[in-house]
Amino acid sequence: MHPLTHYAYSIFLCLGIVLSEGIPRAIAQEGLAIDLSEKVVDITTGFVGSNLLLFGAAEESGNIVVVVRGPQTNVVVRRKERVAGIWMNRTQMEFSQVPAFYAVASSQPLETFLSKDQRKRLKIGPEYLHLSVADPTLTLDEIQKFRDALIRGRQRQELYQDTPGTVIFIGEKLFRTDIKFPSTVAVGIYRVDVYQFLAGRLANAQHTNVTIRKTGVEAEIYEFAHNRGLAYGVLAVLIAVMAGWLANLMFRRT
Amino acid sequence: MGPHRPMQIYLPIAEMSVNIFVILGMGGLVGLVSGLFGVGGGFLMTPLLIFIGIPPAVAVATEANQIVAASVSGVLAHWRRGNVDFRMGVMLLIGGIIGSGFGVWLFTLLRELGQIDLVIRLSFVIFLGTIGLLMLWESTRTILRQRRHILTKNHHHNWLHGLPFKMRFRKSRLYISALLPMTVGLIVGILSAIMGVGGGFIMVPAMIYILGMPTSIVIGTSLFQIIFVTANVTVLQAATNHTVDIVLALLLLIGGVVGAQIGAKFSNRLPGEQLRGLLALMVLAVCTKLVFDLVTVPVDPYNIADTFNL
Repeated sequence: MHPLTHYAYSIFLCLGIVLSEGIPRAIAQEGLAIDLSEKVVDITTGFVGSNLLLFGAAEESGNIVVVVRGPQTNVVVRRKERVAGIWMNRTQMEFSQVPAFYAVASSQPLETFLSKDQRKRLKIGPEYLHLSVADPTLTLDEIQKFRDALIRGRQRQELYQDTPGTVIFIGEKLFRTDIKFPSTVAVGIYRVDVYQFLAGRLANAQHTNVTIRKTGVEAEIYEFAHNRGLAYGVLAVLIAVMAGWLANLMFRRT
Repeated sequence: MGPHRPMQIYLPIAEMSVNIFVILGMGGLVGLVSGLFGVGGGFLMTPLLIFIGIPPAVAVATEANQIVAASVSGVLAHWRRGNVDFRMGVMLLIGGIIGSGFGVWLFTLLRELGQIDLVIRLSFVIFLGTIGLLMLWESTRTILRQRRHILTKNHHHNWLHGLPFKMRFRKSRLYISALLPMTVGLIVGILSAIMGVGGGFIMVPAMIYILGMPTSIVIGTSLFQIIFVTANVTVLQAATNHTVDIVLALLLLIGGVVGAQIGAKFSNRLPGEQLRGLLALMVLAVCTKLVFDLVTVPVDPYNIADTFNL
């Protein structure tokens, strides 16, 4: 969508919330209302990532923090070391409960209105994620190095984002922000939490979900390949044999 | 909503989005090379796929699938001319099926150990380096000694002919132990599973120099074996590792067919030895890039194992 259209759309939606007071389905708590431009993101053939618009209205203007968390998985982090001149994986560490996606957006830099305790309690910011390691033989220093590397790697892939100042107020009460999913985003249910802080205290909180899923041919191929691998392999071979035969026919004519 | 780039196509198994013209172009380029030189092209395609960011495990399994198609179209032409020794092909195939089965098992094990990327890259360095240097040496030597006549004996009698289970291969005009083609097939089968290649670049010289087969039927017979071995690799990789990307394979195939047609048309008009020297340089360039990636300090020594390396 054109940025200007996108902008007009956001204002339109925000106005909609204000004008139809009490009606928006996202309102669960007084003082803070939020909604998303889309609740479902479809991964199709042309998928190159997706931008969602989150918009909301707050009764009093305070600081807004938006946290998006993807589904949790186990992740293996490996470290390359030089062996006989060649870089090869030597040490590895497995982390559990690692969110596949984690983004924090706020209206102001977090440290200007949040204490470390608050951030720790609400898990705001990648350094406060609870990433656990099962192996008891590892030193804390080693775990910290791998943990930092995991966060760094995910940030490079834009799967972890920390963007202060991207929650933008339109007037006193309306705010908006973009949630950016890169093309490598994992499928699953994503939780979006919106916190409102007034004078350094958590005043209101709201949450909603986004579902990211594969649809159409992509989804069918993926499901088929993972659920019935053998049949998929046989089909892949049959397609290749047919294609080879067709190519040979074309060759003969020319 | 969001970014819109019409040239991009999302690969369902690799789980990434690629530029469709880059893939078609690569298929075309490798197809051109295979048409020009009469080689399979897997040994160039797999490293190229890795270079553009396709996970090596997906590159290897998908390329095996593509080679099935390329070999089918190739073998039909040779079969029509009667250049396939089926009896020899079946013996090679028995070894090939065992070898590729073992290869896929080894592949899965290395993947669990987190070493598959390294093993794929190292295998390519060793084989491309050796073949490239041999070809370069061979073609420069031939160019330099073009006028001299050198008699070559391609059928030696040695200990290999003392092996048991002797069989008569009428088409190849050979009476040798069945263990010989089986062993050649076995080794090529392992390479096929781990490197995503047909293995023609190993098998063809082995058939000529070790088995002593006539050159005219070597290509057709090797293609016959390659079809079934790469088909076996495709099915096994799909069943155990789920790494065959059918969309990627089809795109490579389309580019490959067009490229091979153009290549085959031009191959008669260009001088053979110079052409072989050129192929040797290409092989060495790919090899050099692989070595460079292995020895330079990585951007980040830590890496997150994606789902294909778990």
